[in-house]
Amino acid sequence: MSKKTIMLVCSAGMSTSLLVTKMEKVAAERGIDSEIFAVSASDADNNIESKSVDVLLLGPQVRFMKAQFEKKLDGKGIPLEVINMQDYGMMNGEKVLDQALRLIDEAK
Amino acid sequence: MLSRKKDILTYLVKQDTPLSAQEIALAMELNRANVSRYLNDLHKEGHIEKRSGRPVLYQAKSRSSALPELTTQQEAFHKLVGYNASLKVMIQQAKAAVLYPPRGLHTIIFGETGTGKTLFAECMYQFALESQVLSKDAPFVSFNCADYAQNPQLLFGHIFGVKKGSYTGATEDRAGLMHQADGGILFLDEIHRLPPEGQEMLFTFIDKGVYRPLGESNQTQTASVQIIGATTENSEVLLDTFNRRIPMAITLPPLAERTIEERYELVAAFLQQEAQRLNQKIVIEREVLLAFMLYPAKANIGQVQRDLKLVCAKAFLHYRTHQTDYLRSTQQDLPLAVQKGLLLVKEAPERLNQLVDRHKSHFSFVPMSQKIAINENVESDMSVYNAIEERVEEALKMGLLKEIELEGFIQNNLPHYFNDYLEKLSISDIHQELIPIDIRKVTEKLYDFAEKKLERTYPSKSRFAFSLHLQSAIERIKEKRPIVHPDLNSVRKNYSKEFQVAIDLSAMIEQQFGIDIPFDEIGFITMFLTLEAQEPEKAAVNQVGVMVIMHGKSTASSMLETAQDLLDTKVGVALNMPLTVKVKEMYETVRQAIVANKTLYEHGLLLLTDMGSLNAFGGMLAQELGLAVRTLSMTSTPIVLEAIRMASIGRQLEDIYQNCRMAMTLEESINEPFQEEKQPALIVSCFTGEGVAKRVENRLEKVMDTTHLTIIPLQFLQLEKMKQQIDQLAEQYTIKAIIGTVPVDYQNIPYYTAYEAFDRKKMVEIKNQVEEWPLDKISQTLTGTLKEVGSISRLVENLQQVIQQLEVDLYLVLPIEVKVGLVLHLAFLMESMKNGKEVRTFSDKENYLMKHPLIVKKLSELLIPLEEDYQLSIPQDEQAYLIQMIVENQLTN
Repeated sequence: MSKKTIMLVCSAGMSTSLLVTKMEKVAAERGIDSEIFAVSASDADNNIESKSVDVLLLGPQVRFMKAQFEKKLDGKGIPLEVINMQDYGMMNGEKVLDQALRLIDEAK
Repeated sequence: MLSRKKDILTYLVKQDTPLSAQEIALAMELNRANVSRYLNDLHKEGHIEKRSGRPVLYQAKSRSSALPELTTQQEAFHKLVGYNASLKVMIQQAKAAVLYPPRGLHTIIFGETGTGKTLFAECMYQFALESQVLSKDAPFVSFNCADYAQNPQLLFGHIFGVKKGSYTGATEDRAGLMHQADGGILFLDEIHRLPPEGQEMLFTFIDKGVYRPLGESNQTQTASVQIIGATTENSEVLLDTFNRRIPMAITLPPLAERTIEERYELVAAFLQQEAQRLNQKIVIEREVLLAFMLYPAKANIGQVQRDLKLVCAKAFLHYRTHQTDYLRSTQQDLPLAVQKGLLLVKEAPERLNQLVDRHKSHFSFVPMSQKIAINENVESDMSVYNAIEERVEEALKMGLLKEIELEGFIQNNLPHYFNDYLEKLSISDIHQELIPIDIRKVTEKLYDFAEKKLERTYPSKSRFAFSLHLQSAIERIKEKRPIVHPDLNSVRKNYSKEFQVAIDLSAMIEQQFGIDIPFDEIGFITMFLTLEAQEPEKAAVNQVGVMVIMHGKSTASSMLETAQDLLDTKVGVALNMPLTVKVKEMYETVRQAIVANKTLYEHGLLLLTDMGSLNAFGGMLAQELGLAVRTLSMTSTPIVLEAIRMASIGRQLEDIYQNCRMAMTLEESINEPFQEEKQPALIVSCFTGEGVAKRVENRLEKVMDTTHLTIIPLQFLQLEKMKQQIDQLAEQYTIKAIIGTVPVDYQNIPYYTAYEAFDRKKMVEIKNQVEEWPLDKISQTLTGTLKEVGSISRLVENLQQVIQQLEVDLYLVLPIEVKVGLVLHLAFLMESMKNGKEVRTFSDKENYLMKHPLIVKKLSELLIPLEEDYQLSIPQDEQAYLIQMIVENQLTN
């Protein structure tokens, strides 16, 4: 299984960084080789270019950027979704990781 | 021949007042018909002015030789009431916009319905002519974008023109309004109704001065046009779009913000104008003037004018049928809403007495030659009077009616002439848009018919509900889907009168839409007709007795009196217990009071007491007299109020008791959070469970998070059955609200009408009522992570309140997930501010903030208490990010 790179985007990258910690923990428990990181909306573009991102998840408060990102990712085959509200509110690392893995799977 | 014409002109130039053809003919000893012809010629040649009215009056234009020039430079705005007061700043803006080189600034005028946006735009045009920015023959083209709003393509073509072959039927190139307005001004009313393509093209024109007609792909066209837009819309999104693209924004104040002097001037000027138009003196009572100056008019100046017009029409009718010397109006002639202005006299500013002379009981308005512009559209404004005139003559000719009867006869029909504006007042844009015009018209027709037949009136809200129902019923019938009324027979039996009328209505519908109405559908129509009749009918029958007993000489009676006065009812009995009276004596008094009026308590007794031994009376009375008794102690006025209200509409003892008890505990523990594990649900109901309910459901789905909220459509047949269904559902769900066509007052579940679900402001309220925030879960996750912000649950609650307040104040519709995201974002933001983390910058911040003045203001207002509380400050750049998240994420429909 190849390494999964998961990028989370929110306004300042603050709230999602907590989520990253939780997701990393679950990934480690399950033995999934992954790189999970959170960035602010303005840093997202650089990271799409520099890292080979497998999936992009948006915090619900920046869901308005979805269309923008869809355009940017167009043709790159990188799936994109807004994080489920309940999971986000609870910072549920497991569920969000599942969401990310499902998206990677579907994109294949 | 030519000299005759000249003679007439010379004669007219010498006159101070306008004259009719008849008067001129008499004075000059000429044939009236000839005079009329010359006058028409002179008018066409532009030498004289023609004043429509009865009779038509003529006046020379160039009276300058005899009188000093009235129309000196730049007078255009002076005819606006308040030009040197409330409108001063706006007029300065408008002048700047017109004079701005080379061809003026494009302008948008904001303002509520009836604040005079159109007239203001016309004044701008006049001013442009006067100041010679525009040439004398420059066009002023006016168009209301709502006219073709149903058909975006047509609308686009109408404004920008059509290229041959762009659609079937476009057989030749057609110029649009833009072309027509070349060299002048194009006024676009209700500009927010322009579809996106239209807006885009308009903005292209504003930016670059070029546009493309419909179907034209290569060549752009140019025009030298100053655009003036107008809109009643004040949502942030629209303000944004337009503010960003249109350089000058002018906001006209609502009537309530005008000074009392201006209000006086408006009323007086209008009456003066009507006197002019009818060429007759109008005398009004002092009260009439006061009422018109004070009553709250939702639709602003426009409404005041329509109401004045209605009053003048009534006065004119009386004048015509009774052949009196002049028109008169008294307080009794006023619509109730206007009369209510008299209740505000006490609160009116002192200056009122200076304006309306205290010692005068009547005020007269006599026709003069001076020209006053409120509404320039004189021709069409005569139509009401003409219609009355025609009817009077028609009826007199037939000789069927006596004068007095005649007045009544016509007065009954008078409201029809005002249908247009009544409709405008009761149905807002979104409601109009929702229902096709033919359905709306038929609904009005049907209800007018039903009201006459059944001798009752239906509020506009039930008309709206019916038109929604009718629309879906027609669809259903056309698609040949079955319509089944589950309880047709009992409807027919219980409401035979309404059923008969429903049959008539069905025939009318069948004829109008060419469909067959099934029998079951008639059952549903019947139920709409019984709508208003349902609750009160039951009321009188099994009323529960309510008795207020309290210590003190008059505590009980004054508390009850307050409640009775507020509710305008006589329900309830009060017994006072002065401190000198012994408990035993008091019990005897109570017992006798009940025995003396036993029938009053057949359906139960609710005792409302304050304290002590009185609380024990209930049990004893129940035993001794064999009554059903419930006692509520520590009663307060709101509880008495609620008990009386429910008793007077015939609610059951147990029902009242439980409700009042709940109200009491609510009062006590308002802050206690309510724990509930059940899934939240919303009930939408209508008679079919498919018509109105489905539409409301569709509407709700667009704005609510339906993954966590279930919307349940229910068929409403009987109140009792509905309650049972609610009880069943309540086992599985927490019912957050009921939205429907029939009011359901049950278990304190909030009820909203279907009408309200389509009102943006109300929608925000419903949404907040219904939405469940995973607040405690958020707090749990954050606990331990955030260390600088004190109690996490308190922080999260504070943040939720900020967001909700923002929504309510600005009518924002934000998806719940965004709101949760915002709360989290804010929580982290505050933590990092506390930690002194460095601040990121928002690019082009000043510009961005300027575009969203409302949100900026509101948000910073709401954040201030938070900042003080937590001893930190949220930098402007971060606020800009917040605003971006709010603005960009909101749902616009």
